[in-house]
Amino acid sequence: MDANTESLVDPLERLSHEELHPLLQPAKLTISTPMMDGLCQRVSRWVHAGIPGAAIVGNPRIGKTTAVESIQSSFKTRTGEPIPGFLVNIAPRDRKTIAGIYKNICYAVGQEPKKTATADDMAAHLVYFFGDQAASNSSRNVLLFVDEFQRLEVSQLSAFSELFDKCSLTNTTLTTVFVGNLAESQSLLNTLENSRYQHIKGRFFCHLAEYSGIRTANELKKCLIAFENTILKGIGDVDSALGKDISGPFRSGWHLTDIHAQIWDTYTENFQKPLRLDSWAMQYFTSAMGIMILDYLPKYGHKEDVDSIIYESIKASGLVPSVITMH
Amino acid sequence: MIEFNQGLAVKKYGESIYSQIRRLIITNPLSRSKATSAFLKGWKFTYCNGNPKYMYPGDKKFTGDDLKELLITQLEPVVSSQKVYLYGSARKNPVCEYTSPLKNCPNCSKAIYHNTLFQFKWAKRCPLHGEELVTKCPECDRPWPSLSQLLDRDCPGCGVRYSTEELSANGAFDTDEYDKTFQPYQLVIDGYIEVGNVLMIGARNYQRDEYGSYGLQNINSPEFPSLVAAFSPDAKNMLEKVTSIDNVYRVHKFKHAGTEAKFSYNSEQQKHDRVWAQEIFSKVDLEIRVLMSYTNDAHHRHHMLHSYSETDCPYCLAYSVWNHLSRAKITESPEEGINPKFGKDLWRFNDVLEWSPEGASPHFYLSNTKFQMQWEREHDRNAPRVDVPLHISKRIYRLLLWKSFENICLFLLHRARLTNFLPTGYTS
Repeated sequence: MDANTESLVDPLERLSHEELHPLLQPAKLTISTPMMDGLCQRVSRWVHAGIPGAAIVGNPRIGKTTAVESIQSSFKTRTGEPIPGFLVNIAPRDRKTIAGIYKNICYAVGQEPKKTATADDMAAHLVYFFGDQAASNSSRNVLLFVDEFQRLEVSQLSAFSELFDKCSLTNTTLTTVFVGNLAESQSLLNTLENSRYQHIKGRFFCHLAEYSGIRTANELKKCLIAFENTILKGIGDVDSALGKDISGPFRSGWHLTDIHAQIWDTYTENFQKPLRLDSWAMQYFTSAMGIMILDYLPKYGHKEDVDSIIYESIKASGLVPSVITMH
Repeated sequence: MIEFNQGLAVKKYGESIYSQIRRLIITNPLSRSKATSAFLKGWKFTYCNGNPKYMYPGDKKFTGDDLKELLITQLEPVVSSQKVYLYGSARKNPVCEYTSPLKNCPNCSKAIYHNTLFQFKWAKRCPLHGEELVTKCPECDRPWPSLSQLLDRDCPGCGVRYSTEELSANGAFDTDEYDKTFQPYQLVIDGYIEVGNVLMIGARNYQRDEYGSYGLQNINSPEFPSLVAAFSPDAKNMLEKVTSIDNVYRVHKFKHAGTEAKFSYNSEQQKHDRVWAQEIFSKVDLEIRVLMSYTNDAHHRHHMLHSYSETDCPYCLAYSVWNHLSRAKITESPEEGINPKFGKDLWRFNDVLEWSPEGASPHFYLSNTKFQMQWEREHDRNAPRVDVPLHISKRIYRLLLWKSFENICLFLLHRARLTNFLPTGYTS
């Protein structure tokens, strides 16, 4: 290819082939957090104990789905064998049926059902599918994460109950972990208190865990380390404009953890206390740090008026509008 | 990539291809025909009266990338246990499915199971359930469905439409029971493939095959279980669950554990012994001769049988050891008979494997005789050689020596494998 033809290559096409830096794709920016590790340990304990199901609840935008996506394939049995994990995202539908749930799971695990497939067929197919997957470990465990479970009707939970029962017949232990928003799932959880639904509550909702964002200075420090590692690892060409911007402050040996106390103080004094926040949601944290790295630090540096930079970054991340109630 | 369930939750040890296909149909309710056709696409059939008689790897096996991927990732684990039957030519390998009407145990059928063992003529009962093997389903009184009939068969005894609860009640998921029960039988069948020649040569109706040597007696023969049972009480107990055992066969007990047993059958004992022994010797002899013919040494071509003791050639040395072991001259006339001690020496081959420590010239001990390569002999030094450093040529020779023995030992190991499932304790 000569120089002329090379210049004719569609820039968008070329861009699509290049790996974008994580900071340029905030939606895909995932860092390993101590909260994720805690969640992983909690779910591992459930699985090792042979618990049929449990629920994880938390405030919106806190990073539940991202955490589950990250950890779903990382579980192991006590003997170190991998436990297959699948994530189903419950889609909102105007007709909420059990067959709809099975169809949802079929698509999520890559088993496309026929249009005419009955609920029985889909359930049986899924049971054998999970049976196959369970063969990867001698404990015959499989994990199913159900995201946005607050969208489910109580009657639809029977689908998971049936799957668990049938899998048990095939010597497969299916552990279903429901993940949902704390506030929105309250009505469903309250309904399950009714004695009619004890069989469902007993199976899946006896064990609840709350997932949260950053709550302590120590957690913040660990998140800052993970964030710094992630963004520095993502730099392909350090000499590019973007590479210089991102790596600039770090070249002199400076680290984000050097200002972790200031970040924590700014967050608690100006945002957490006035807004009565339980924790710093991960989306707003990564967004704030991204804005600080990309916009403020290259312009103002990391030596002067850092508190203002931190304040403006957190403010620009969208944390404040998210908690304003509309009257 | 085409995805379908393998139904590992109901997969049991030693199931036949028929059983595998039925398993795929039952465990893929959303894609029955897709899974079945994908499975069958790789195989070529010959038909007899409308039913598949033999299955071969088909030409279409590797035509498409998807199918190739499918075969490697999905089907290979499924068919691996049946490899020996599927890849063998049906003409040479008598162990082939569908050569007779499908026989099955009604209880096994309900649990989605069929074993190749059931197809042998001598198999009368299911070793797990004790039920008589029948050619018709007792539930619908129709012959067990052929592959083409499977998709449409709707019968609680032989169909393909079962709920998980029904299968559980039928014991389809109790795979451990099936594995435990059928594994020893599979070992006998697999072992037959390896040692069939040796095992069968003493039987009454052994035959010459088209290649002029004494060949396999069909495993389908009614004599097979009786012959195997003659080796071991355990095998006898096992096979008695499947068929009736004829106690006409005897084996001699030798002094040394692991000594190969000889068949004696009525008045023809001597004849059989000679034939059996000669068969073994011929095979090893042939192996060594073939190896010798691959080398370019002149003495192999012109003095093939007489020069082995006069040279350091590892193949010749191996041949001399073989002669020492067998104490039988293959070239001698058969009327002189075989030294009766051959069995003892043959199985003391472990002595051979006491090799010299690293650094010393290759040698080994056998029956208090030291066999050693004479590196420093005068005529060897003067002989024209390829310019190879001594330490390398030592290694080459050592390797060649090993290779020679490997071929002998390989043959013996094939026979020794029999003892894996037919323990010692022969009856006299």
